[in-house]
Amino acid sequence: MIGPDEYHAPVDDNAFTNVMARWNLRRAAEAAAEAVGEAERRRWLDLADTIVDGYDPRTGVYEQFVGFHRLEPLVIADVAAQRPVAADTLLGHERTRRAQVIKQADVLMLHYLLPDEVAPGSLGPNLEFYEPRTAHGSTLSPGVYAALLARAGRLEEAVETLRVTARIDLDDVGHMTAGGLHIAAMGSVWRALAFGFAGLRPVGDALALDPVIPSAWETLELRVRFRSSRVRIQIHPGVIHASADPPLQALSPAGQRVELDEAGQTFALSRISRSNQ
Amino acid sequence: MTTVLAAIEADACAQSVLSTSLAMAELFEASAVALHVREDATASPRAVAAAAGIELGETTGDAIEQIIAAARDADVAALALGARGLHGGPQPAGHTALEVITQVAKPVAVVPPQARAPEHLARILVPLEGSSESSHALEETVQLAHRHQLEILVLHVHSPATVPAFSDHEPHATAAWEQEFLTRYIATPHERVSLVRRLGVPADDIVSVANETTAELIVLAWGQSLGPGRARVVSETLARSQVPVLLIPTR
Repeated sequence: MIGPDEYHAPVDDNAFTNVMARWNLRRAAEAAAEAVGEAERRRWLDLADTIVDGYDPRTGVYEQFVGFHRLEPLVIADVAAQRPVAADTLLGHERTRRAQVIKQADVLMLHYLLPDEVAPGSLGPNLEFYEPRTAHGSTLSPGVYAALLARAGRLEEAVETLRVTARIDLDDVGHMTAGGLHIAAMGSVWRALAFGFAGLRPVGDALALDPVIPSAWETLELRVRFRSSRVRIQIHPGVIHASADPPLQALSPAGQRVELDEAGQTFALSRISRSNQ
Repeated sequence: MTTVLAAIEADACAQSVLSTSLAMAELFEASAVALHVREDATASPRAVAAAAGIELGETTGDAIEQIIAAARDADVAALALGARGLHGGPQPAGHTALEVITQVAKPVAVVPPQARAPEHLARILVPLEGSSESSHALEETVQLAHRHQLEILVLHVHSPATVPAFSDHEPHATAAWEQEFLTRYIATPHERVSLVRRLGVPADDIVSVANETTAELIVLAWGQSLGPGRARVVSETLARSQVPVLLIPTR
């Protein structure tokens, strides 16, 4: 199989793929409870329980795939003066395949897409381990890291990485913008702002609000639609105001369940987000 | 009458220089003429010029001064001369060649002593580092090559600092990067232009790619300065190339 990190393929027991498969089996068992028999549903759940994910509770790090930790230890700063860089071009395909150099978030895509499916508190250790090994050789990579760095409270790095993403086509960083704009990278800018800095996250029927924004930002304002409700969010240093039409269940930055309506509510922000505690 | 001037001596290199000048004459839509400067009682290359069917003019005096003066004639579109002996390599360009290439503001082909001298040009190698200055200097030559239906191999040698930032989705990413590079630096991209990319040391790759692809001529833009730290790629290419190197001044 091949995970998001296209520098290594084929691999066995890719953590991202396995956790995704596990999540899908569990969601399918949940969603299809009445459509399939109990025996089939039970089989899906048993299968999900047997899927390995490479997590090491001693280090808090997921091994990207079986054997990743035995590859040549290498961080991008050892071989390149700057990122983003197409590491496979720099090092050659063979050395890249044999080294702990990754094109884009792989394990960390789990923290990005399915934060409830990974071990609590594992964002920090996995960012520490995988971020220096990431070449950002895909335009989709820095936006994902910007969101994750924000969630981890590493705001200075988050802003710098967000800036790289936002300027990919403005500065023609890859010297290929004439061949087409990087629409998905542009989308990752919005996602970094919404899910990284603003800390929006669906939790059941509620929208969780958990912003962390740099003190230099005066305002971050977003409009989103969640469960058919038009939601407006304004974040200033130390305070967030959110409104929704029609009314919507939300989780405040302090984790309290509240109802947002058109008039909205204002919440004070602690300096550190809940997800980083 | 537009001419390509072959500056020759009565040595083993004369035939290669004459052959190169004939091939260049086709490219520059000119006639080849030869010049020999007699500095002493050495033998004349008259016979070898006659065998090549090229009119030979002979004169006396300081070789460098005479060649430069002849090259400055408005009818002379380009020049070919032998490298003979070299600083910093197995065939460092001789004193005469170095003086001429730095003082004549026209295309000058430097022909290595053991060159695979072309009778006609079919494939040329154009190394481009990716600057508008070089691209502009080479524009006319590339257009002439296009007009004469030559195959143009553009070579770009990446250094670790210039490796592309992204490679999203192959083969699209490579194709898009290469298309953009050719669009930026080749004024008239066409079906006979192709891009070869390497990661390494420019002169090493220029020489090896010329050998691998059997290109008959290497075409390099340069600033006509051989001072310390300058024109390292040109110097090293001249020192080791197996084929003539056509130098195009950037100014």
